[in-house]
Amino acid sequence: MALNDSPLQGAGLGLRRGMMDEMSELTSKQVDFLEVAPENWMHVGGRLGKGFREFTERFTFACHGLSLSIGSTDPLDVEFVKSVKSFLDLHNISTYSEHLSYCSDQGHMYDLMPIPFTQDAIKHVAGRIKQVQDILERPLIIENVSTYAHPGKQMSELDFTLAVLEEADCKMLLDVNNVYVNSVNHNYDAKQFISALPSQRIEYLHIAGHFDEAEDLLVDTHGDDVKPQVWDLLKHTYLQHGVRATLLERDFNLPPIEELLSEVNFIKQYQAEALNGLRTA
Amino acid sequence: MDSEQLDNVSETTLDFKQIQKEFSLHIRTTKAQSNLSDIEDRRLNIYRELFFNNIENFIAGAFPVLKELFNEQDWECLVRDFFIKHECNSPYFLEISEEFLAYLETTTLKFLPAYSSQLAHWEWMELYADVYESSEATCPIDMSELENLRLTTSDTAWHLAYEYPVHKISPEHSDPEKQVTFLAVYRNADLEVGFIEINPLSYLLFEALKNNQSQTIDLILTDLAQQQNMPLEAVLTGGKQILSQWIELGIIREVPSTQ
Repeated sequence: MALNDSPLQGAGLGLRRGMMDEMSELTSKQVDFLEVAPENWMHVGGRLGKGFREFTERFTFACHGLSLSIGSTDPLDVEFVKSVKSFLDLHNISTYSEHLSYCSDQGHMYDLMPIPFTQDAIKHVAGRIKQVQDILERPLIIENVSTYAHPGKQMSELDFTLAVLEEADCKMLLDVNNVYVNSVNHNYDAKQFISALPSQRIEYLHIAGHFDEAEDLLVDTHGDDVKPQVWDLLKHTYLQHGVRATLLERDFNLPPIEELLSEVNFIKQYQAEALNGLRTA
Repeated sequence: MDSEQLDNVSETTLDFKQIQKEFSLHIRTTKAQSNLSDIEDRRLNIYRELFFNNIENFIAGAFPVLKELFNEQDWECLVRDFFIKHECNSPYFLEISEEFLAYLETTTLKFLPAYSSQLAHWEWMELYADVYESSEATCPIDMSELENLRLTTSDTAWHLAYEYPVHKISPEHSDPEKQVTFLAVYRNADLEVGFIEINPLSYLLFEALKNNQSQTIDLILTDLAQQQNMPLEAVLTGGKQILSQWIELGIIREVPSTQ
């Protein structure tokens, strides 16, 4: 039973260069879809490009971008967005998500910085999201990011996120781990945050592991197993918004593929449980 | 939206653009910024470390030989200087190494050996050859009539000239004499990258083949012998030997027919 009309269904796994050999035997029975950062595969030929095509021929893909810098005050890199569109078209990928963040200021910095939660920033970001959607001729799906500080904050993260979704009229990639990390880092209730999001805008979900820097400071490393509190939050999300396609992210400290697949199987299990619960409710 | 919160926003509140600028400047330089003073340093430190380690990781991965030449302090100083001074325009992570090359051309850091940017270029070349997006299909070449073939270089082969023997530099051999060095890098049909050292004549032959559209091998080698004032027989024999090797390595291909 598909609960929404998303091209993504089920449980997915991020495809990383360091895992390509191990994942070459993977089937779509084990993993429903894969996800990559387009920046790491665009204009890439040779053995990596060939390896990537072998995966795109066998799996449904989502693209999760890193360099769009939707919140930046640098001009939008229109040529880059056009290249992303060509890449998505070439590999027949309809899902493209990016971070509600900025990663450049007079040049790329290759990691994510927190946009100040202000009215002007909402307008700025929403305008750029619309511009990107026009070029892509696809929806741009925006993801909540993990943060360690809130510079220039004039409203809550929730209000800021809701306003951007509304103003840009776009979909959301809900990163459940990021909500958990931020709820600890900024002392708010993670379940309340998730419950307050509009179900109809949530396209798919991310889940990942994090690192406990201090009791009140977690770092979103994608380098550990998913924590029990985050699994709980995923179950809460399914109950609150319905089952959505969910992807496991793992970028560092890569374990054997079997360990990742066992986490993917947890996703499948929780999805099935939630579907049963929703049916019998 | 909570209207009360918005009413509380005073007219003197800072533009988000100014705050973003200060935030990114702080991450790059680690210097205190006036509008970030209310943020705990351990939180800013997470950003400082995540960003710097990420950039360092990309550069160390692309330039392992270069990194080995420096002590930890100098290496961090170099990466920090790049992070502060160079405006990276590429959105692609694989091209951070190319941005670093451009930075090395302009930097004035005193502790860098004179050959740094040439060594870095050589290291980068291997990565570039590995991921280069080729538009050509590989076809086997019939070697029996080599002299009459019209050959050109493959788009996955490159000829390079350096002022130092960059391919021999290592921590044990970190003070090379200046010596003009010609190298060819190639990616073969199995998509593996390799390199060979070539002599000045081979370098010129590569150059002639690269631009070749219609000439046969015999004609190219004859021209080369004339230009270099060398005995024709020696150039023909030596040239064909080199070409046989290059065909095996996938360095050259036939000129595509226009029909």
